[in-house]
Amino acid sequence: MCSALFTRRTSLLTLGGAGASLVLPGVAVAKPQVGVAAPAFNGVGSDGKPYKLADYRGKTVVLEWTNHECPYVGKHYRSGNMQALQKDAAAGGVAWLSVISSMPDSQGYVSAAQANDLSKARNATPAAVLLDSEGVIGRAYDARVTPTMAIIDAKGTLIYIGGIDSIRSTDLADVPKATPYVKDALRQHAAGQPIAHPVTQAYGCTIKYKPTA
Amino acid sequence: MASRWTAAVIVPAVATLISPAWARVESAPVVTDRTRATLVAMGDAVVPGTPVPIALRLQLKPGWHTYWRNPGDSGEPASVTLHVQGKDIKGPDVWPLPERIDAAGIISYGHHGDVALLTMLPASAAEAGSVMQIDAEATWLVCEKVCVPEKGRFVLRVPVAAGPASADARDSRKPTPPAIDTASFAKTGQSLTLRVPTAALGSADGRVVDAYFFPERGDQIDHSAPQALQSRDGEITLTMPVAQFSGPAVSALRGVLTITRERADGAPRTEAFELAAQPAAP
Repeated sequence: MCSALFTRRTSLLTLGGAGASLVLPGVAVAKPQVGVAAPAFNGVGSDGKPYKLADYRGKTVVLEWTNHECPYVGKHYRSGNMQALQKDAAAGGVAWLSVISSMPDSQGYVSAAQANDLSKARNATPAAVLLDSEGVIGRAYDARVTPTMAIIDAKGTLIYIGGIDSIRSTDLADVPKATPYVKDALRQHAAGQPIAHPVTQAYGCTIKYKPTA
Repeated sequence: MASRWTAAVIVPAVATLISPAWARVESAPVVTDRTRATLVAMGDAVVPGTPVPIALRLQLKPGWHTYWRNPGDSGEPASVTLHVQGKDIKGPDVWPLPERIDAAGIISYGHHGDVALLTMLPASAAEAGSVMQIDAEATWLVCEKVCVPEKGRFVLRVPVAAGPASADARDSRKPTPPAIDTASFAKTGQSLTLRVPTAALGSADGRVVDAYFFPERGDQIDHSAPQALQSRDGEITLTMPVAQFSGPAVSALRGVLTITRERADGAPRTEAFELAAQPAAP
């Protein structure tokens, strides 16, 4: 678990120079901001086709970070919550893209064929499953856990980022009790209303990213 | 694995909590492939009129961790419900000192090893010489590379003592690190800065070369971002980015502050404090 990044950061801090102030080797990546252009991406789907955010101008896009072995993701698939949201999205002309950012040989990593089988097995109907094993799309959106959810409007502006709902648990019984942030946001956006909770706290399993060099 | 410095913090905390002196009244275990869980009364007996800490003790296999009250950027804290004399008591209330757990740069707060999560059983009017039965259910999450939700039911029968607790026994029940109540904080749209007078950091020798603040609430800071330390003019300041999902303004910022001092013998020394900071005067 002790990644190279952390070791480096710790050692630099501990060995900090002669001066009183320490310069942190923080990774200065611009974070996605609600209300401004969503980070562009250029990925490959489990169907072998290229997927670019720019291709979706004129459509609302949902990004769903997933790891089928994570118990928090399991809660939303075993309850049928995620599949229901995907169906509603498709019916409303919303493009739903599932994103798998697990690195090879880590939890949640799947080949293209396994991703397709997985969608079938769990009755998932995303428009595409993006294979992001390098973590490029995940890092661009600062996604840290599965599930993390983002919504992008027809002009390419990020309008929602955060969790799927309000109750941090793996208990299926909590799904109907939670405030369904993503469902509400999609409904409010479709109705031309402002989104009541545009930034929420995502909860779940850490995304199994390839460590940064 | 925990980094070197966090391991230094956690060892004394666990040693204090799990001492053979009190671990005598323990429930039957719930055992999984990863965890041995029990419910433990801290003390030989319940003393009428005195609150009793009841520990959910999670003995985790090497490499596995569970979560602090604020789990940081993943996971969730354990939940405990005690059923005693017709009342439901929710916990835990007291957690050990947290460690930073890093997964490719995503930071969670949690515990490895032998972990005691305390729920305070309020003072009861139990009859001296009787046996008090505590039924409990608990859920907790353990993670290594993967996460597994676990749960258990426990039954604990604790003798009710005839006399009052000795001062010694009372003192040993809630070990806490030293407190700091002279700190202040200022929060902007981007960052939160914590200012702590050097005088509050104890009298140990050595320049403070590292510090980290673990907030009790999960909606204040970006847990995965570095915290920038500066020391000058009799204080240290620690500056950290705010959480993207930023919660309401708080009247006091609570959490655990750890500092590492550079020492002449080259072995860094890490200390922990319970901190409650007030908003800085505008």
